[in-house]
Amino acid sequence: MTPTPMNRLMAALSHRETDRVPFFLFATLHGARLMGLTPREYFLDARRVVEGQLRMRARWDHDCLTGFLGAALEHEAWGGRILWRDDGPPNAGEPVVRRVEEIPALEPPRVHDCPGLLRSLEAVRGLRAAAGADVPIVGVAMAPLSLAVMLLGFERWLDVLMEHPDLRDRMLRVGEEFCVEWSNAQLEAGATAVALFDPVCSPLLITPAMYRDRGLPCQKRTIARLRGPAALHLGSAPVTGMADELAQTGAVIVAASAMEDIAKAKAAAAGRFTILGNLNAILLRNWDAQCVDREVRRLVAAAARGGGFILADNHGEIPWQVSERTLDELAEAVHVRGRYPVGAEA
Amino acid sequence: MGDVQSRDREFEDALLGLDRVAARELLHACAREQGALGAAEALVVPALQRIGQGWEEGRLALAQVYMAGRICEELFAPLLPETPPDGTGRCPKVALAVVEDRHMLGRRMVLAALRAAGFAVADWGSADLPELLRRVETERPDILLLSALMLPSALRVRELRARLDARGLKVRLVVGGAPFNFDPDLWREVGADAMGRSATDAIRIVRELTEPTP
Repeated sequence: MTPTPMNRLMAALSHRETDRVPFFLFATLHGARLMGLTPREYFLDARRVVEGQLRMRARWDHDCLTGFLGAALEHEAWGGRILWRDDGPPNAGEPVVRRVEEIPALEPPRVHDCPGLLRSLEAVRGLRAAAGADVPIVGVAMAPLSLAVMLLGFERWLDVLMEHPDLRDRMLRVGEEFCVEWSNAQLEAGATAVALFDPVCSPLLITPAMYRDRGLPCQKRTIARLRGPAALHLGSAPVTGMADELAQTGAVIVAASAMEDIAKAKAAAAGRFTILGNLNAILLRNWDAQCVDREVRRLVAAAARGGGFILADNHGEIPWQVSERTLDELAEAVHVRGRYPVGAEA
Repeated sequence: MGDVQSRDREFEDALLGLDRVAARELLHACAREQGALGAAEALVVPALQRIGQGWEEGRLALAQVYMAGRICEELFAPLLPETPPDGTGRCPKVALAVVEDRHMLGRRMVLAALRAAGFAVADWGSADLPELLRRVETERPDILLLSALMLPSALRVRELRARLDARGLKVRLVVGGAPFNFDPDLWREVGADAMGRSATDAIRIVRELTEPTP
């Protein structure tokens, strides 16, 4: 069988080895850099995003594409404002819900009414048309518990989460409806899987009891309603200690943190889901070729054997400040060190 | 009422249990005996520091740290003097801002912890570089605490430091936020004077920076 990015992904998910470790390079911003555009010029035109994604894959030969145009797009869909900057991703503006009293009347927007979301779907369709079936396309959506942060602001959402059960349940219900519709629209447009970003479910943010009572049931319900596979990304948070719960969510991939031992994370997953990670995306900007090679060798040696592992950064987005040259070195290291079978010295 | 140690443990339990009534009773009893700032020293700061330590060690979640700080701030605000003095009898001017971002949780937690520890803190909210420069120039804080969630915002601190230095403005910069946690050398790289990992770190750092040099 000719190795393709899709074959590599499928092998990883089936806990098998193929020609090399799958490499997911979430360099969403670097498409703009390669084309000499600002993030705003780039992300506001789906055709440019398609071209940028294809250029990046031609240069770095990684194993996925994405139509992700920034999480702030969802904020805009709910009536918020996107804050653009020239040296980083678009950011969400002021919370949309100014007072908790507005929560009972809150209704989710419909995907087909949101120009930004439609632009992202256009990018996914364009990528699928250009790349065919051989390359996985990753869709992205905020999971309900974390979407609420964008809508209310972190403080207000924590207040609601901890002290106002009725409002909390209402937020989670409307968030779930939106998340399911938005995720399924991306799958329908051609995404292979949807990555649900859920940093609020991080064990650093809420207690294990809160996760079991609120986060886990919400993730399970949401993922069960998706018409395709889901990955879970807890926003650079460690997942080793919650592997048993994460295995119940239905997610096929879970992102590990740079702050945890990838071998332990994979051992905790115990074949129930595939581990993605965990290069430190913040440190990457200062790494030289030797350091990149050492980190890739370390990850491959620790986690690649027997499949069930995708090499990626831990943050889900390579910062703008990481140079193209560093990404050249990263791609080269993964292509050389990530070949199966993995040697003892990897 | 038990001894001081058991009382501050009770206070900590009340905070973690979101039991405002018990927390208020303990705080007011302590304030009657030792005054508001005495109560901050004896009860609030130790409890918040242990809770912050619990988060750093992975035993507690950020939501608990946030709620503990918020409850302390709520209960403590009516007891506080307008401008609490530092050890020298002078009021340290402390300001707090989020650099070019609307992610306000870190700022809110630091604000709550510092106010509950008896510091008067000017809250500048979210501010970009020109705004930060303008406010430093006009308000002349001794210490400026800066919270950043994203790497580009964290790197802005380097630019701020350079411009402050160019204008001869003396202010100690204390940074915190996710990029600084993921890159332990970043705070030095951007020219900050200190970095805090948690809201209660801010109490320690502000105290250290305002202690009179021998």
